[in-house]
Amino acid sequence: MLDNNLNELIAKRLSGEINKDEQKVLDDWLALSDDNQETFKLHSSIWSDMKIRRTSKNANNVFVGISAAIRKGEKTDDPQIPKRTISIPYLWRGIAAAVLVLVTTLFVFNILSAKKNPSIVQSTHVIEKSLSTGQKLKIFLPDGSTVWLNAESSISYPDRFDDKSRIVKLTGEAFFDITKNPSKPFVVKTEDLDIRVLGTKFNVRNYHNEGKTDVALESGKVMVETSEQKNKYILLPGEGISMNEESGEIAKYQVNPKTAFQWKDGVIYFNKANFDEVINRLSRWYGVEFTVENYEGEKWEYSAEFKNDNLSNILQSMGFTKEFEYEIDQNKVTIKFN
Amino acid sequence: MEKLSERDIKEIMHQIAHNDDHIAFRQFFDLYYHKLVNFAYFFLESSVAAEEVVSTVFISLWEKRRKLPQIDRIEAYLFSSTKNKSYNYLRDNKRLMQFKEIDSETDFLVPEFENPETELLSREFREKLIQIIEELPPKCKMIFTLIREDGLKYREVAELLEISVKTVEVQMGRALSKIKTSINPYLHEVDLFHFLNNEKIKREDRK
Repeated sequence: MLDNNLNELIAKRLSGEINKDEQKVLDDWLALSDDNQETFKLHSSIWSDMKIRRTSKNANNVFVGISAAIRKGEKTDDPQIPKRTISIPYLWRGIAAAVLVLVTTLFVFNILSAKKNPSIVQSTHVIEKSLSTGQKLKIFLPDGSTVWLNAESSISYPDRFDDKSRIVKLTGEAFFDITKNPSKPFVVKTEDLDIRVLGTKFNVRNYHNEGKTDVALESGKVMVETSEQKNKYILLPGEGISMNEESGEIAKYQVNPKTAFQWKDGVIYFNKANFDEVINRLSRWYGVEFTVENYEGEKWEYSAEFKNDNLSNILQSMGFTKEFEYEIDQNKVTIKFN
Repeated sequence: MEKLSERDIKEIMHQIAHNDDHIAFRQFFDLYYHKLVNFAYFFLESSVAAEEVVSTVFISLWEKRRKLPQIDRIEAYLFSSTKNKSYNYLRDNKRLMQFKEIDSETDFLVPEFENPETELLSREFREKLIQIIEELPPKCKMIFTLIREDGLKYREVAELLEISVKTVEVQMGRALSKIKTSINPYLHEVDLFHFLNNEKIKREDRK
């Protein structure tokens, strides 16, 4: 085998371009000697562990320039404007650059004071995102905050926040990582509770079929208000609060980070969960429907943790301890107890 | 920067297209700017020109933002747009481009390793490896970078550079062969395999 061809095969393998026949040739060559394997290992390490990133220090300035050109184009509605800068001779570049700095300074200044300038204020639209079972979504809000929206949940927010506050509405479950801005408090409104924050990470869960609203704080500080009675509670990191939908009863508790926060990283965590809870969680997570046969309503306490696992693996390990068999047909799952 | 999934990128593009979201546009810019300016430099060999060309790529992208979600492979689209605009630039600025700039490439685009773990390798070894990759023949380096760093497919690179897939294969093989030959003399200085195995174990522990 020629060395050149071999290098080509290794490159194809590492970039995922290899086909079956070529893989076979490569495997045969690898089986020939330890040296060959070491060579492959070296290439594979360099390939994936030593990627190079090239950073242009001037990126910020370039972006400011782009923003200025875009703004200019939008004002005069003339898309030709940015193109014109291309053929400026070198001598003029310095002048152009100086003007650009001035323009961009004004631009940045303008953005900062944009709210006071009526020509820039545009009408706001409400954006709504709704997920069905089996879906999850990471959302970037207009203020740079991040929201992880869980399955069967919906959130609405304006495409730009107003002067004084940042208000979003939620049903279902979401984890929030809020950008700090003391002058613009961030408020999550749910049916029963308002959560008021300055800059922090927390989880809110109010699925209708669970009959309660849960707020769990990872870091920072939040204030929780009931929408009717105007009761206020302050939460500290690691604390959670739960409100019963029917009775309106409110209780504080210590948060288990695994149950409250880790869903956004793909972790399903069961802590002495009963049968209904397990079935509900799995059907929401994977977007499947369950049919259960021969279940006698025995007491169930199931504890386990799965990370980015597929449903089949989970059911297999669960079926092993709980003694059932299962079948998955597209989005229908049948569980048969023995 | 944190690695974003394909879904995150789609979401960013959606925000730009439908909400005129400037923050999302900045995120999008940060994701691709450095790669594109590096690519444009291959053609233009001038940092000022590369910055200008890539600026126009982003400006016209913003102007056409409503259509953004219809683009299937955004990387391929951006690279091909950068190439076309680079060619136009060369055509329109022939006289200008005769004067070679005296800008040092190193100041313009600083190459470094993506993974902080590689910090554990000796400084000498790291510098050597970067130097080897930087000193690959230009075309070979361009193809290797597009495939390994920018994640393009062989077919996409072939279309982009108007060459055959076979040429891409050959250049990739050549890149690997040159890297291997040049790094060989330094291997004995570092117990590279020991290092890499340790890293693997550590990474698995974390899971």
